[in-house]
Amino acid sequence: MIPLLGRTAVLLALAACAVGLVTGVVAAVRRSPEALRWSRWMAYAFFGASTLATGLMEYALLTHDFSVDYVAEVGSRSTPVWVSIVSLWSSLDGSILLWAFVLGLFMAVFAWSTKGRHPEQTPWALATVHFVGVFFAFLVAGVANPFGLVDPAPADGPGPNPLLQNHILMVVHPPMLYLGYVGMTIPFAMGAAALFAGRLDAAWTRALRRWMLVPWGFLTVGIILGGWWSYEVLGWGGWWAWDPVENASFMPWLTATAFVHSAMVMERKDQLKGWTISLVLATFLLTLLGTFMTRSGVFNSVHSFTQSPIGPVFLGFLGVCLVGSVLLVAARVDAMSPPKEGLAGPASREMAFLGNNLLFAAFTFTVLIGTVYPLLNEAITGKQISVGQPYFDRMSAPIGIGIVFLMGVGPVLPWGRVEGAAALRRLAVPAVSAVVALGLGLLGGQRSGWVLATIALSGFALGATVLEVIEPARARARALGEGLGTAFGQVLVKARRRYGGYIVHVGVLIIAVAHAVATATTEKTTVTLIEGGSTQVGEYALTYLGAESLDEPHRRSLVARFGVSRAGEELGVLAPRLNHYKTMGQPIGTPEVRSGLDEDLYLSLINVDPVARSASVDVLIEPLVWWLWFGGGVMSLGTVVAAWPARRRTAAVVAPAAAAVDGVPS
Amino acid sequence: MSAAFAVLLGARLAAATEVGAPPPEAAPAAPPAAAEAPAPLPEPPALAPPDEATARALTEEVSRGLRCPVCQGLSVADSNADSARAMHTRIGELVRLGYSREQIEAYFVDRYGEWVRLAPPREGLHWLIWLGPAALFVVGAVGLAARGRGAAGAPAPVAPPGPPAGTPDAYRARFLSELDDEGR
Amino acid sequence: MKLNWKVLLAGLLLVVPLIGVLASGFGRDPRGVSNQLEGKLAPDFTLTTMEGSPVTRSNLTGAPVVLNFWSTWCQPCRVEHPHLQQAAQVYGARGVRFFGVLYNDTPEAARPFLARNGSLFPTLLDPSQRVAIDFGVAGVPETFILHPDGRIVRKFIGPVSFADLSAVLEPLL
Repeated sequence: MIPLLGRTAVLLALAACAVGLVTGVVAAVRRSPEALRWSRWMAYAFFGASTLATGLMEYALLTHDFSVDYVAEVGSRSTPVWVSIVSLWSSLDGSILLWAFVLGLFMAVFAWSTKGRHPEQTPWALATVHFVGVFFAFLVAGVANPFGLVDPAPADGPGPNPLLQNHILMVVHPPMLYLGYVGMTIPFAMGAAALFAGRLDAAWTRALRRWMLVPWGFLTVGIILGGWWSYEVLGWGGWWAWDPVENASFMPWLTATAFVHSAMVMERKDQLKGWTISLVLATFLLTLLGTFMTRSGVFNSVHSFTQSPIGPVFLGFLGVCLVGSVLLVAARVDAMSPPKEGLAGPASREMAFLGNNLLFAAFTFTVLIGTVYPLLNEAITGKQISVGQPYFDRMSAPIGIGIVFLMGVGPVLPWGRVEGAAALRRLAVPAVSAVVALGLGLLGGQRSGWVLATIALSGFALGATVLEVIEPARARARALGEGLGTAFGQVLVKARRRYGGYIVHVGVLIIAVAHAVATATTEKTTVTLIEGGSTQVGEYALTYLGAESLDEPHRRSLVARFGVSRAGEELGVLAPRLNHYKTMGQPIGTPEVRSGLDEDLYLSLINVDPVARSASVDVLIEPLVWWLWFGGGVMSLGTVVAAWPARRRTAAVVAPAAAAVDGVPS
Repeated sequence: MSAAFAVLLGARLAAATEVGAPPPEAAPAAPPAAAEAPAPLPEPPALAPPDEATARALTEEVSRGLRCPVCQGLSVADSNADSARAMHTRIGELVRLGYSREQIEAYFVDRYGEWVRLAPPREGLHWLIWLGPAALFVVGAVGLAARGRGAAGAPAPVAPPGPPAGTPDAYRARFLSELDDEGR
Repeated sequence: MKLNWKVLLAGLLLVVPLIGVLASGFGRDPRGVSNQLEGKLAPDFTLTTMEGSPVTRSNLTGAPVVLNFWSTWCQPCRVEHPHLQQAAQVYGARGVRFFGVLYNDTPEAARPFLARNGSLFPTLLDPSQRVAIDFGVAGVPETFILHPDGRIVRKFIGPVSFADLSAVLEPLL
């Protein structure tokens, strides 16, 4: 029953997109409002159909309906309820269905929000979104069909990959990443629409900026959660390994970030349009590339699924979109903006933005070439090679430092050229904060050049950012006699995007410093203790209290308990475990971490010898790791502030404000 | 360049699709002239044995540069897998015997293949990834500089003169003028 | 509509090779561990059996040798065990020497396993996996077939079947 219903829903979704695509193109070319309305309604229809299909699949998973192909593949009667829910995205076919659902959601919201506005670009944008929808619906209906019928239905299933059952983050990380990934379709469609229509006006640019911020925010959260999951679940003590799939999520984030900055230049100076739109297109294309890398089996990765027929189909679609985008940009770029005046002088904000774009482009290219090079090398020489952490760390360090530097310098410089002396004066406070930060770093025991440079430049950038945040509030408070708090609130309300952006910058700086310090000064020791025995690792005293077996329906866990104290003070018990899943041979470890503001104590169980009553455990002391996640939170807060929809100003309010530049702002 | 790729691609696809080892050899009539052994470590090692602190640091450094054979991309230093631990122990032994990083890496590469190195050495085709990004950056920077000189030859715009820099008025004026397009 | 040729060329130059490289990855297993040592002389070693007698590899020349790295905690090793026992019975009589090498495991675990499932050939102890590393072993099970002159003729990664072993051993006899 469900296979049939599900399949029907998917086919309806495919039909909706196909009709939406055709009517969208007709609406664009013929400027027909009737066709436009059809296209919009098809977007709602696609949303309905894909939601129905997803709902049916979740129902099948929760009721253990093993007559459905996908449920037979990843379902199980012995897994907890939350695992049954998240099995939807645990394997290939289900995750494509999730993609279609999220796409439907974004499509529907986009269609609704553009109703009656932007008549020139909206039809093209809707057509483009439907085009992407057709592809994914086709995948779910055909190659990656999760609704196949299994007859006779088996009594039970193997359950999803045990690594995915280990932690609750499995619930949040993939949906966040999907909201980011799939959400990039909308800015892509908007950018393509601008090119198709040959018109990129201020209103569309503003809408495009906002539509980029939302998936960008989710992508940021998704990436950070992925790092957190890697840290808490995989047991190696790290959070980023430049795994091909990690890189796949990072590259679109880089181009999207470059876009957010480049768009500011585009908005103010009406320049760099071609480059900025190319960034939008590149972001979406990189999400396609990323999905291809995860699903084709071509890349060796923690995430990769085995090779399936989906690979060539995906590559085909990716190829069409890549070539199509190049043609589109080449055809339209000259019509978009003939350069009117030269870009600004060397010590201006424009230059900082351009430098920022260059660094981000270099970064994206580095990650791309590093990830793809093993394939290239094998194609040419037939030999297999690896490109891993040593390469990426080495190449990204100078780029990262450059970006942090620009984060400090950029906000301080004004648009246009600045007089030398004034520029230097603005840098006084940031310079002081840089020195203070450097001092703190040295006091904290950091000796590596890279780490100290990161700390010093982050201090510099932090000083500049705080200055930029406080000064306007102070100026306003002084001019209007308001309290500083009120002034700050008012300033925040009036310039949300800018201050949201500054908050995001602060988050990035926190992460930069935490990452540099944690990576450079983590200490790893392996200890073997007999039951009752103790040892000293750094400031911590560890006592092995014994191991016990824990039986759950889907796994048997060996839990080793360690009493922990620091400088005499009792800190409790940490219990890392080894999980034996019924369906897998080797045990999978789950570490336990005690997080502190200054450092984390990380225990990863290696093995337990029941005969000798001993346990071997890796003990890692990792400084500042908590600040990574905190920085992620700050970035999210900043994104929310920046993306929060403002009350639309009416013309009457705008006019007096514009006229009152020298007067008191209302 | 694309044509070369097409040729290579065609050759690859046309060649055996079998993954894994080549078929077993037919028994030779006589043993071959010289069957090379995997490169043994040179005796004596190139360097004198280091002290404990240096040894530990060098072991970590070498371990960070070698890949755990059963993991997807983790280094021997990071991985918990059995084979990674065994390699780590062996690296420690070799370091304490006085072997250099290059010798130890060559030892593992000889037995596991080039992919056990976590980053390709700076030679031959590999220069593409070691120099490529920097080259791109330079090209981009030069291009920017050329554009910055002004496509139409017009001078770069100067910030309009306002209240003296550093005063509250200056900040307010600057703030208000920049606020123009934002916050909507 | 006028095409900007510079942009078009630059774009295609980036995009087409990328697609080509990605496509070239199909049909190839990215996890494949290469068989570096096939054709090379097997590294020499001296290990002791669980009973205490030493075995030196270079003394084993003159007959084909089957070297099987295994452990009791490895599921595929248990699957291939009967195949190895059968091959040892058939080919051992024809002169092939069979040895197991214990990988990251203890004699205390191995002895009961072998007592239960049979052991027609000795198991060697490799305490810190030094010999395993010398042979480029990444995991278990891995099986090496040596030519009478000491060369590694074939390396199997994963469980072997009787048929696999036959196919390699027959031509050597």
